[in-house]
Amino acid sequence: MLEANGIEKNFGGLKAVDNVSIKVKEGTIMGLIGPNGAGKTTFFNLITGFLSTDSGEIKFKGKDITNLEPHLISRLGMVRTFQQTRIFPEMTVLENLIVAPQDNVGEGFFDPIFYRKALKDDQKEKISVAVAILKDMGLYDQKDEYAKNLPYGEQKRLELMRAVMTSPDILLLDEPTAGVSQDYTDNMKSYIKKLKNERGITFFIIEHKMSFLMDLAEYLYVIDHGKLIASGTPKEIQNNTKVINAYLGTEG
Amino acid sequence: MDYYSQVILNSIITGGIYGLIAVGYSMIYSILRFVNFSHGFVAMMGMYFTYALSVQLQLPFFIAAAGGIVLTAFLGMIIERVAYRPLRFSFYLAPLVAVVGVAFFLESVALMVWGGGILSYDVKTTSFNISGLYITNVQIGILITLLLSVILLYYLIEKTTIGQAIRATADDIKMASLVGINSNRIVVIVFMLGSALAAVGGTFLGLETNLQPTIGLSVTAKSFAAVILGGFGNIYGGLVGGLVLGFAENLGVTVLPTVWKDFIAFGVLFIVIYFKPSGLLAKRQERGGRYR
Amino acid sequence: MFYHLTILMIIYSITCIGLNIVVGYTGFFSFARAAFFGIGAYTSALLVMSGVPFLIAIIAGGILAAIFGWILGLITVEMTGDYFALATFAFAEMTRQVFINWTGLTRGPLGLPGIPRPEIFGFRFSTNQAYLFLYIILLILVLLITEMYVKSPFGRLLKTIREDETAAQSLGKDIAKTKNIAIAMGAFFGGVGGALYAHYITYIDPSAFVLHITIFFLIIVIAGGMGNNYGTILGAVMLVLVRELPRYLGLSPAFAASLQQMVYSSILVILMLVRPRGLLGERKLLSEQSSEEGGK
Repeated sequence: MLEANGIEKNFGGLKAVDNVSIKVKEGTIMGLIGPNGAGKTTFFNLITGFLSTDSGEIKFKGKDITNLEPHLISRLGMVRTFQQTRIFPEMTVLENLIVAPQDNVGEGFFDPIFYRKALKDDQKEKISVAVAILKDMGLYDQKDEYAKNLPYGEQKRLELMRAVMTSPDILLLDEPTAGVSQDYTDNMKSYIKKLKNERGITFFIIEHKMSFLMDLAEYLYVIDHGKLIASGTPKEIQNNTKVINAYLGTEG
Repeated sequence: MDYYSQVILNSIITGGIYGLIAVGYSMIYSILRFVNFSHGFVAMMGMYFTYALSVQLQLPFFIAAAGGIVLTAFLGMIIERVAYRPLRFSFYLAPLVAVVGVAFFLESVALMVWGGGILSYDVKTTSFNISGLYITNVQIGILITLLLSVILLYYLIEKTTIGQAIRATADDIKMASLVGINSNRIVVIVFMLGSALAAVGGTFLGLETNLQPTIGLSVTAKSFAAVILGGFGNIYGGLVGGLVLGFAENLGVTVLPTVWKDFIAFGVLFIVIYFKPSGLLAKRQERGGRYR
Repeated sequence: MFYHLTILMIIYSITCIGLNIVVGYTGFFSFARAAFFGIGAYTSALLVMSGVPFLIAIIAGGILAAIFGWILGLITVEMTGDYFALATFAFAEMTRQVFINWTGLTRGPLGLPGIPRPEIFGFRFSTNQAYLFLYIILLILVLLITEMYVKSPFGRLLKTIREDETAAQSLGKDIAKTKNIAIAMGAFFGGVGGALYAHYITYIDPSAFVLHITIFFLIIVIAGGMGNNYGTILGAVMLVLVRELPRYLGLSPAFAASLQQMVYSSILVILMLVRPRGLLGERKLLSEQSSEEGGK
């Protein structure tokens, strides 16, 4: 589904991402792990078009998307979240969700004039979809609260829900559990499983904490200093000496 | 050839003045990432403080200028206390809007006290002819003082403990407070120092041309342009940018009709902003930072 | 005096409702307002003076301003807050220099005197009462159109740009295009406001379009409450009173001018200290129930 070949990115002589190739299969949960500063987020920015690559090729659903603008990549069905959660703080929880769908009627300049009826019907439908998601994943009671007033963990949950509202084929999550409590981490795990089973969404997840992905992901890539150092099932990764050294090297 | 060496000399003088004002501005910007809209208006006030002391109170010019600089430094402190510090962690537009208010307040004060007419300092000028170059005693004085100010500033920033603290704060304000630097105190010092430099520049502007209460705005715009030209994040960036601007202005007039001079000045500013925007990545961090 | 002040309030409200789209909803601090105001004023005045009907002329003024807004938007699309503010400021000053120096068209600093008062289908609005009536209708129209946009998904999209452009892009929103439309829309109402101003005062010159007027407009929007059109109207009412009343105190014109500037700049600083988000805040426009009722 998603394929990247030989991706490279330099920041002023420093190789942030060095010849990385990955493949994400449809209907799976895959992970990208590595110590802090290994280039994981940079790699995500490259795939999603927020940074331009120096060399390499990215394919999504068979289409070349290398260096395409981020909103066009998102429209193809690949949606991401951010390590530093990016919600719309001065909008309510419900508004945060309603604004997300990509087939919203009424976002063009002439729409509010010419499609008044369609616009209203569409809004009604989107609200019910959003309400259903809110009831399903929590936060329904806070739906009219400004997003900035939510605790951090719930902001992360809101960001995920907002991404789901775009009906993506694949979701790229950048450290979905960074800075949240163990309870939230467990919750997040069950959401992701649920979304994969009920909506058939493919996941590609960055994590710093290896334990989070160990029983969630089916396949893991490991990068360190911008290079791919290993890949395999969680079991294989757990016993890979290169990986253990990389983690010990930076944290010990 | 002589004509152009004359233009170059004039460029260095105007450019140096702009640069000096802009350095004060870039210090505040590099530490707080804050566009101090009132900076040019502060320079204008410095210009008039000197006028009040030298012409109205009949003090000798050098003493009057020194007094003007000290008064302006205190004005900078008051602005920081009233309009900036209480709003530092408020709504992100609030400090900017507040200094816009301060700027126009200062302009209205100047208009009320000194009137809207054109004034000038009471300084005798004599012109010298040095191998075809015309230079006045005032210009020589300006050049010498400019050089001294730059050396003094360099010494202050690079060699003293206060300068070290300022540089550390400019690098990373959070980090600086973590290592025990009182960032509030540094901000006040920078506001005072920046305003003092603005007063020096403002007084020079008054000497070179004349005094008008409405110049604040164009001085603000020019210092911002100088800072952008010179590059952000570097305290001396404004100095270089100011010199470039001085050259552009003086050379521009030699080629183009004078009535379009301001059009060209703002056109240059526009083009500079267009070709040196801070880039998409910087924008992301900046916007994110405002809310959190 | 009552009619005069009220008419000014309406002209400024229309202009600032446009500015609010850019500053309040989209979150960009634009200093180009005086330019759009001036473009609209000159265009409409010159057109009517050469025989074009009033209604067509003010719309033409708005459209020309919008075209300039669109171009400005294209150029500034990647600029950050501070840079955008400065670029729009440079643009406004360049425009004013054109007003001053293109003497063949604008008569430069001499200004354009004798701009005809509005005439619609043969009826000439010559008294202040008739004026007020006409301008109130136009204000209501502008308010209805803007409210419709602001409440629509388009308006919500504008807010996402203000809140977090990157996140909006990650959801697949075309931020560049939407931002451009917002600037052009704002410029359109600025142009219409300028045209209405020209036909009311009947005389314009470049000094009416200096940065001070832009600042005045920005203060109206910020004081009233950004992202709230009714707040903008409240701001216009308040600021017109603050600005114009000193003129009626029998002071010398120069002193009155600096006094009014002093008063409203102090109000601005105090307002920021007390209510940094303006008098009226932004309203929550969406709730599950109200939208369902609205849809029925």
